[in-house]
Amino acid sequence: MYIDSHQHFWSYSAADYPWIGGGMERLARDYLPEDLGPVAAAVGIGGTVAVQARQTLEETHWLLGLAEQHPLIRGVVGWIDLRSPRVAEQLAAFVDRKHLVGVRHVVQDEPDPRFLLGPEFVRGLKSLEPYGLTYDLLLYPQQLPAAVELAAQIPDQPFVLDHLAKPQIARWKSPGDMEPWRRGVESLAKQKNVCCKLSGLVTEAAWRQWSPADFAACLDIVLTAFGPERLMFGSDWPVCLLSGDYAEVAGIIRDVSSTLSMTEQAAIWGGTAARFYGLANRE
Amino acid sequence: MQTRPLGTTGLEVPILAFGASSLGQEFRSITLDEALESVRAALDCGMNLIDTSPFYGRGMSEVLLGVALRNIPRRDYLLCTKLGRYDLPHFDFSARRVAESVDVSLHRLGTDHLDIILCHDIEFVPMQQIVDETLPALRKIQQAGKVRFVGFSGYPQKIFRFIADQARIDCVLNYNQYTLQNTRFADETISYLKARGIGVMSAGPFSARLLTDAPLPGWLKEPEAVKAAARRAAQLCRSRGTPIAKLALQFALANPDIATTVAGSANPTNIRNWATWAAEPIDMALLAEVQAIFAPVKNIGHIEGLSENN
Repeated sequence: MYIDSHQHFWSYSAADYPWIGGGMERLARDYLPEDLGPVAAAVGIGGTVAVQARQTLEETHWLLGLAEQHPLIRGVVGWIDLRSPRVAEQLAAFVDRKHLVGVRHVVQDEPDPRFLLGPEFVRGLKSLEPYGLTYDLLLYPQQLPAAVELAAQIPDQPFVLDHLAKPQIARWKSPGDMEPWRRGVESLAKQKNVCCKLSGLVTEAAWRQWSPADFAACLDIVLTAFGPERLMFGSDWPVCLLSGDYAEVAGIIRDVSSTLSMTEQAAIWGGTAARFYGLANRE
Repeated sequence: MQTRPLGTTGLEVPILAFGASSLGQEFRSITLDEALESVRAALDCGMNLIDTSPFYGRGMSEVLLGVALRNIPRRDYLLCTKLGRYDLPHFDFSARRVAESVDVSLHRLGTDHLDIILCHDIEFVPMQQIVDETLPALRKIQQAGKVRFVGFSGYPQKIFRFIADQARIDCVLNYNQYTLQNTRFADETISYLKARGIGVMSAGPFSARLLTDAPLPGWLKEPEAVKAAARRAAQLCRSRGTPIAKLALQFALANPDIATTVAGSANPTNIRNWATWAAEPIDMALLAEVQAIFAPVKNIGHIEGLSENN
C-alpha cells in the first residue's frame, strides 16, 4: 500500500481555523475522508496519515474517530499539550486509540526560535517514547538549529521534519539565498533519529505558477542528506490545493523518485512512513 | 517442458513461464549480454510464455525483450504484457491510454500482436473503472487483432470476483499467493475461476526472494514472523541438501489447476536450474516439514493498493 504521510481533515469554521485567511478561500470548507479518498486513489495511494491542524485535544479525539471509521486513514498525528505538567494524564486518555502514531505542535507559530528546547516542552517530549509515539517537527528554517539540538538531546525519540522546514522558495532570488536553509536541513539530517517528509513544497513556491524545476534543488539536497530510507511522500492536502492539485503534487515527487531504484522508491511511497509511524499493513 | 491449457483460450502454456520483470531491474552482478541470454535460455528450456509490463523498468523490460526476441520466429513464443501501471505510484486505466499503451508495447516488443494483455495491479485504483472503461476499450483492440486474450492482474483475492462477476475475462494473474507460505489463491479463488473457464496464471513462486537463500529485499512487506519462519525453512532445506527455491518452485508447479507459474531472473544459470528442477520429483517428506514450519504464519499477507480492494 502506498502512503500519503501528511494530510489534514477539518470541519470548517472561521473561529477554529483562524490561519485560513485572505486568499485562502479554497480551504474555507469541510475537507473529509470522502473528499480525499478518490483523489488519493487516482494516483494509487491507499493509506494516509492525518495530521492535526488546530491544536486541541478535542481535534485529536475527532481525528482518531475518523480513523476508526475510514480504513483510508492508517494513522493520526494529534496534538497534546506537551508543556503541561499533566502530559501523562493526557497520553493515558489515548492509550487505547491504536491509530495515534505521533504528536505535533505548531512550533512555526511560536515566536521563540528556541521554543523546542524549553524545559517543559522537552520534558513532555521525553514522555512520548514509552508510548511508542513519534514527533512531527513543523518549523521554519530559523528554528532548525534548535531542532538539531533537540534531536541530539533525545536520541531515542523518532522525529520527522514536516515540509522540509518550509524553504521559502518563492523569495529566493540568487543561489546563495538557500544557504541558511540548506545548512540547517543538512545538519538535522546528521541526526539519525530524524526522518523528513517530501511535502508542503507547492505552497512555498509562487501559488499555481510554479514549475517542477522550482523544487529540484531542495529535493536534491534532502535526497542526498536523508536518503530515501528516511524520506516519505506527503501531500499536505488540502492545504496544497492553494497551489496545486493532489495529482500535481504527487507528480513532483514521482518525477524525482523515478530515477531511484525500486527499493528506494518503495521507501518514499510508503515504506519509510510505515516503518516510522508503525502503520499496520494488514486488515 | 510440460504444458497445460490456459482456461478456455485454446492456448497451451508451459507450466513455467519466463517473467521479464528482471530485465527491467538494475543488473547487479549480471551483464546486459547475460540478461539477454536469459531470454534465450528460457526459450531453449521450453519456457515459451513470456510475461512483461510497461511498468517493469518503465519500458526497459519490453525494450530489452524486443532486442532479445529479434530474429526468433514469432510463432515460437507467446507474449503477455500489461497496461495501466507505468510507475510505482502512476496508474492510468483510461480508454485513451489503453490504445496508446498497446501500440507502444507492440512497438517496443517488435511485434504486431500480443497473445495476452492484462490490466496491471488493478487494486491500486477504484476497480469499477476497469469494468466500465478499460475492459471495453481492450475488447475493441482485440477486435482489431492487436491482442488475442484479455485479463487482469493483482494481489488481493477480492479483485477476481469483483471483476469476473461483472465482465467476461479470458485469464488472470495473481502473485505471491500460491507459495509454500501462502496458498490463498488456491484456497479462495481458483475454483471460482475454473468454473468460469478463466485461465489461471500465478507469479512469484519465491514470493520476492522470501523463499530463496538470497538476502531479503528491503521492500519486502511480510511481517517479521513470516520472515523468521522463512529463514528457519531455508535452513532446514539447506541441511537436507535441497535449496528452498527448488522446493518452492516444485510446489507451485505441481498444482494442476494453475496453468502456468511465472518466475523471472536475468541470470541464465538460474533459468536453466529452474527448468531442471521442474522436471524432477518433489521431496514430499521435506515439503511436509517445511509446511509445518510455515503453519503458524500460513496465508499471512498484506494490504495492497486501496483498502476497499482488499
